[in-house]
Amino acid sequence: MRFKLKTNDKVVLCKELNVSLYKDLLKSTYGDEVDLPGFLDTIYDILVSLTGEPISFFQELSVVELLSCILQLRINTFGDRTKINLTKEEAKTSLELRIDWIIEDLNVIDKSIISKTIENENFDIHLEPPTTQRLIEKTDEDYLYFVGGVTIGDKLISIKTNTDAKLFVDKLPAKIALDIVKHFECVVKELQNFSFLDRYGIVEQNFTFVPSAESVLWFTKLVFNEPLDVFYDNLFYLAYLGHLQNSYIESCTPGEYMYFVRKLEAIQAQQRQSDETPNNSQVIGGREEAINDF
Amino acid sequence: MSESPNKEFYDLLNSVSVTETSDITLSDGKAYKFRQLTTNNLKDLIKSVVDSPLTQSIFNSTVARIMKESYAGESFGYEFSVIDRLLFVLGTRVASISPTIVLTKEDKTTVTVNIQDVITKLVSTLGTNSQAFANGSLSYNTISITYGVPTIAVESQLNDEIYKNAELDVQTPEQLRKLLGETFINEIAKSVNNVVVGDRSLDLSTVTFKSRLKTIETLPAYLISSVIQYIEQYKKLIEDNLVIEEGLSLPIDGSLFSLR
Repeated sequence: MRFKLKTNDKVVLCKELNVSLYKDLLKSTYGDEVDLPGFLDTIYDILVSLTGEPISFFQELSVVELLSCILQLRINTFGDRTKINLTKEEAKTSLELRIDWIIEDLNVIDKSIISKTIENENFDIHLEPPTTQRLIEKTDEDYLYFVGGVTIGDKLISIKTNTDAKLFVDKLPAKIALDIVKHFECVVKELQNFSFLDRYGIVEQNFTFVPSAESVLWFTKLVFNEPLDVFYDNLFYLAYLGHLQNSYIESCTPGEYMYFVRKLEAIQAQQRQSDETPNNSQVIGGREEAINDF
Repeated sequence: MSESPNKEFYDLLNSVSVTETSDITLSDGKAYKFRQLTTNNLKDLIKSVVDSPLTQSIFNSTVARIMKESYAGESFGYEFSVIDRLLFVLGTRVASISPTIVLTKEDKTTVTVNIQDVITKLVSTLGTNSQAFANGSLSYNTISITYGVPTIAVESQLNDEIYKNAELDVQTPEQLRKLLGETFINEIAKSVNNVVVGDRSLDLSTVTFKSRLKTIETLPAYLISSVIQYIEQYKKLIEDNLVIEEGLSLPIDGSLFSLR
């Protein structure tokens, strides 16, 4: 089955995620010190494999669009909701987070907060969310990430690296550069105040987006949150007790994998009730979705 | 820094280069054309905030370089004086950033200063007190000197020869005394243009700053004290124009270009 993966300029057909790629995704986000370029390369590879688009297509997507693609993939893999825990004065409440709403909000962030054209007499400067490739290229001045291109007459010239952005901005009249810096400061302030929890009427906690590679990783961990050890345990028990071939499981979708896990779980529970033999009491780790705390 | 192979991109850089000029009136009352500051110029000026408060050599050198780079007239002969440099600093701040600056007082309250008003007052002071800024001459026995407001060229010479390699980080009172003494004599040396002894004349612009200092140190105390009086007088006139209110003056350093 395929679904439509929407970016700002293009809609591409995308195959469903399979367990093999799902495993790659979980591995790429595993641990506290994730290698960001490695994580992003895995995301590009997965999306290339599912869409057939060239890798440059995903490398050149803005950080907002790439995150939107990951969230769309999540919706078409496990559904459009995920549970999170909100902590207030040591009391935890559970919230079912709508991922489709996050995508809508990201679109607002892209179009209404970050993107802007600074018009000048001879040329227009386009400020836009940076690509993830730009974000992992370090720069001393963060506003340079957002300098995306310039229109002179009817010709658009893209600025694809922070080095080129620096060369360009250094040549600009100081007044125009100050406009860029002021816009960047506004973006930072507005993003700090833009909480995805506002839609739920929750104002005590903040759930915000920062245009960074770290933020893409954080959101990916939020929506693909099955612990890696549970995933491997499940693969093992599906092969050991369910007699499913590993190669077959890996070709299934994560939804199918979850179905087999739950089925095996149910059978195991039935067997435990009817059979008191201790040797048959192995329990597989069902994919109880890990819940993220806020 | 690696160079982009993209020709289109370099064409873009050329097309956005600053071409817009503004007129800045200098100490002779004439308007000179200067290009607006680029972002790079602005960064250099802001970086010069970290400077010796006594010599301001980094800020002065940076401004002199930018003044030369952004001058849109036919030639730049480094004949401008340090007062021209001050007028350029204020004028380019107005033309390239904004005509106002917000200063914070000791009690943390703020004052918005219109820099254009300061320029107007300054130009008026230069006109009404032209004698105080004019070159002069003095004689004592067989020695004569001429003096005037230092030129940027002399100051650049001082910065390049003396301050560039000097230890300006003062750690002890002794070091402070030494630095103050040297700065004081340097200020005097900058202002003396010519020394005549008998029928022999020495144009100090033709010698190194070290030679200039040696020459100054041999001058009679009467001549030196007269030059000091001249310097104190014209500097006071300038500084009075920079006072916004009691205890608050417009800073003439990198912070004038700071965004905050």
